[in-house]
Amino acid sequence: MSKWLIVSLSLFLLACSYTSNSPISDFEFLTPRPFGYLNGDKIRHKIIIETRNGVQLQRGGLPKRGAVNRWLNLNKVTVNEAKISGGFRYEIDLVYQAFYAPLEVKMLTIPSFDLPLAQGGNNASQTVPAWHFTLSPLRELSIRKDESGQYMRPDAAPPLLDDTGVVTCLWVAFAVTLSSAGGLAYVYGYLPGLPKRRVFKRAAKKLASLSDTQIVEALTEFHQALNAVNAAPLFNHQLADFYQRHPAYQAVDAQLRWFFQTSNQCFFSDKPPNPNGTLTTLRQLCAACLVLERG
Amino acid sequence: MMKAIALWGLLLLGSAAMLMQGWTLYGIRLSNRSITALATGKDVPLDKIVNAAPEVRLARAMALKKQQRYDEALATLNLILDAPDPALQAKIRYNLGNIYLHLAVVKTEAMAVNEAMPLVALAKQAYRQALALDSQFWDAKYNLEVAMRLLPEMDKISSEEESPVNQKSQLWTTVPGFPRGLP
Repeated sequence: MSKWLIVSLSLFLLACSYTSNSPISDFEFLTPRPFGYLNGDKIRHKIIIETRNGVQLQRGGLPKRGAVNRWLNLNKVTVNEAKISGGFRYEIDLVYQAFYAPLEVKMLTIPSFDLPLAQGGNNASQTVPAWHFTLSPLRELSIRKDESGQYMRPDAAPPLLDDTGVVTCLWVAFAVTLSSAGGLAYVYGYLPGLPKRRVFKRAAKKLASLSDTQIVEALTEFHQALNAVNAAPLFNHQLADFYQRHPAYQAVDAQLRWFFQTSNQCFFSDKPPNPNGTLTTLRQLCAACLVLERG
Repeated sequence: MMKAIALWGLLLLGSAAMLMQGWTLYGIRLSNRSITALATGKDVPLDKIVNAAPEVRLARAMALKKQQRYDEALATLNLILDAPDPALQAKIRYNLGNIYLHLAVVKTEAMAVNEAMPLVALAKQAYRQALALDSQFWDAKYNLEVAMRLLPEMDKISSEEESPVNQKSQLWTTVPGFPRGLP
């Protein structure tokens, strides 16, 4: 009994030692269905291999792109490498393409190959097995011509140039142009139904038509413009509140204060303001407000 | 003020882009008109072809083939083999294969077998290239099979024989011709 126990233990230890010495901890060969292929079909294989003890795949030894044999091409080889505990994990994707015209369903074989592995000066390899699959003909053995006397498929019609991308870009450019033109019309007060943006524009137009003797009309016009912006009559002592609601106009604070002072002098004082230059200054103030109005 | 400047900039950019895209669209519409004209057998002036898009030149090659001007059709197709669009490139290579195959069949039926062989080989190569670009190109699969039946490959496929290609050993061991089948 003890003799059997010793033998079993030895075999177990041997198995354990073999497993731990093997450079590969996992090997998977993933293949698609092995039937139903036709001339020119692509076949994808995936190999997953995990190594231990820092053993690395020798990429130079992988199958090369190009003709494997007369009827089989290897179109693509991609290798993804990741470090795992104690070793590496490789995912190798292979895309083959078969060019074979059998007379009947035929079994073909993608040949096996070795994956070379190395660690320092030690070399090892893992065999990827051959893979068998069946390939079927596309056409019957005897030749039949169609009604037009042809036995082959016709030429591919030349495609029309695709203009969808250009049309989309054209619409986008049109939308940008239209919206920027709309924005400019709004800024310059050309949009009907938006009178706020036209307050000082209208006032500037009116001031331009007045003469130096019509200073009362000019001051009244500018008062009306300010009232329209304020949405209520605006007086000198309300300027601080006005600036809170319309901070842009603080830039012309000094000129506005001059305006109210001139207006007071004109309407409530016995000494009317000097008409020389008043209208010009008012026009300049109106032009400054017009710029502020346009943003 | 800054807002107005930005809006002016956008307006200029948008207008320039509109002009450019409009011009491109006009060119595309002209090219498509040429393709339709060539497909319906009408002639298109050469100056419109020389710098035209590959699609227009493909249409011209097909028009030349219809007129049995095969050498000119082949020359036109060879000039556009490197078209940037893979789908178009597959079509060009397929049509190239069709011309070679058609010429090979004509030679074979005239019993000029030696002249047919290289043409079939060229046809097969063109179909393979088309299928490498688009493996779901069914017409290319079909015509490749036609070409392979016309001139079968030398290798006898068997489980013992899967050796890598030996270019020097590629000799024609078969006489091209269609298997006629039973009545």
